[in-house]
Amino acid sequence: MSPKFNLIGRKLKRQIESIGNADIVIGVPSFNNSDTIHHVINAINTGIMKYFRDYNAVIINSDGGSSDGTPNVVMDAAVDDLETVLVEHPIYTIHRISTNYRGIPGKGSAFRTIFKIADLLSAKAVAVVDSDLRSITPEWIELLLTPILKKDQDFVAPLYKRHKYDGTITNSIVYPLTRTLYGVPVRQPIGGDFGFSGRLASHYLKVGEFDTDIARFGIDIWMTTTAIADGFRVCQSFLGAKIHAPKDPGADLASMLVQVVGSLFYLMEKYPDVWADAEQRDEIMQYGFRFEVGVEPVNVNLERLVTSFHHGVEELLPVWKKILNYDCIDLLKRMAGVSVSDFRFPDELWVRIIYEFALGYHHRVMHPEHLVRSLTPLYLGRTAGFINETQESDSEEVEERLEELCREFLNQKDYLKSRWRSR
Amino acid sequence: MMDAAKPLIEMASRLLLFVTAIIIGLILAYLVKRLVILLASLLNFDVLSYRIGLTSIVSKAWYDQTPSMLLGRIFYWLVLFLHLILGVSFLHVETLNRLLAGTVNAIPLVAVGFVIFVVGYFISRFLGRATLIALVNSQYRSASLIAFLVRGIILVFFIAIATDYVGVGRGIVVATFAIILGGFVLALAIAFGLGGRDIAREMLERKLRSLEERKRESDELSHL
Repeated sequence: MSPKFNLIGRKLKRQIESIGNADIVIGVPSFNNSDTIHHVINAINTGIMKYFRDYNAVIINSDGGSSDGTPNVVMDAAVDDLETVLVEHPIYTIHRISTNYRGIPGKGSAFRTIFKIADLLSAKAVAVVDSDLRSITPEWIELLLTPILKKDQDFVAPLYKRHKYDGTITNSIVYPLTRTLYGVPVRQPIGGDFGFSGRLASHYLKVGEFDTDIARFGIDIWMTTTAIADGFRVCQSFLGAKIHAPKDPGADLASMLVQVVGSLFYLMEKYPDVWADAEQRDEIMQYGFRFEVGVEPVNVNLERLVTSFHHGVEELLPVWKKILNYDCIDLLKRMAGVSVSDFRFPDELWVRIIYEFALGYHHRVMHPEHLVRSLTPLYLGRTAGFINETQESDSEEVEERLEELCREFLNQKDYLKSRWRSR
Repeated sequence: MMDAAKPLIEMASRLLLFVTAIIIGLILAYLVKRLVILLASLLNFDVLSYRIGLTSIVSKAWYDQTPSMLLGRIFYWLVLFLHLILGVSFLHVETLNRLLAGTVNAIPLVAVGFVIFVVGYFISRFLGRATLIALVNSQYRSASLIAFLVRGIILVFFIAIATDYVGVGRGIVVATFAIILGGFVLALAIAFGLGGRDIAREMLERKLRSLEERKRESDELSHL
């Protein structure tokens, strides 16, 4: 879908023309990340020098109008001593571009600029990484690009070693739902650090809905789902631990749910024929040497989570009655009186709730944003129940528990399919 | 004798025309009602009504009617009313004609006033629900009460506009609304400014303390 304006300004166009072509492009979206992006750019630089010194590479910083000098940090970043990181100078100059993206403010618009530049440079492989990563290493670049360049893959999703309670939206909704719907077990569908082929980048440009909420915050799940649903070859690479710069603790959870879950539901409406009949695969190609990583501990306030759930049951039942069936409402009412230590949230109920919300979104029982926002107390309750169940479990046992959840999503898929066409 | 009977004959013919108009009106009204109900069901009007919340209003007011049945009824009475006007016009009774003319003139005003009210109703529901969900997600204890107040204020505001437009109690409703809202705001200002200074301070301190506690107790879950 062509934008109503030029994505590429004259200055950027001249820079691209002077480069001509590139084998690999690595994109870094940013907004006021001057304190973290230096490390990211250095890791990318070192990765290119170490693993792709024979390739013509371009690093693109797609910036949202930072006021803290992020673009200057990008252009000035350099590894002080190449010998200590055991690399030699590359054969080709590693080009670096920092540009302000155009369009609706958000990561999606930043990525669109990266896709466009990669397309103009006829890049064979593209990688995108977050600008606030503290755990990125040069090996990430190899792991995201080599499957594209040498193993004929189109899309590389990341695989991280995370704390068992990290990524609760991914673990309780995005991963099991994406896996069940599209049949491909991508463990981190919204990881944010991806590799993809130039062919797929051009496809993203062609089919992208960058005038919608995808441009703001649904881009990660959109990229993964589009790659799977449109028949591209998908794999994942083990990258190790994922550590970001600390986020603002006041970040709005309801908005996160709208962003991610809303985009998921939207994509279900785009690909109903794909997910209705998708064949289930047990595994996909995985690259990278798996190793154990110590992860930072996570403090959880269980009482706050359970109280949020109870508060939701007290106040939001009239809203939930428009979305959920009578049995779900009845069970939720009974759970409202349970103490924090005994609180549990059964898989069957959770899966039914997610499917009912997806159906409610599809049949427009209320404004979509109201619907997804009202999921927040239920999600917090589910998180509390899951934490209670798995307090003594190690990460492998938690993974096995998540596989049980995936099986329940699959068990109830026929219910979703039968109700999708009629209300 | 013929001259004496002439007014009677004229009256009889006018009555006959009136009755004919009513009978035709009844038949046409019934047919239009059936047609409207059929069209509404073909266009899934009841499903749409359910989604926008119209069904719940209808079922509270007329428990045995669906929105499409109610729509059919509205058209039934509309057609019948038009035929009543036509029939009355055949009677050539000046007083009745004036009364009906006045009623017909008022119909557009009432219709627009009704539309204003309906728009206001849906806006109040939308914003009330948005407020409720936002406050629940922010852990406010009085979420339902505040959402109810938001919904009520918006609805009263639109009722004031509608009645002012229609001309019913013009000025009175608007003045009442302004007095209530203004009085509420003034009372709050006085309470916080003078009489309830200490209580207001305590409330604010408690609120700030709970915000601080919430920040300290918040967990380190990385949701994405």
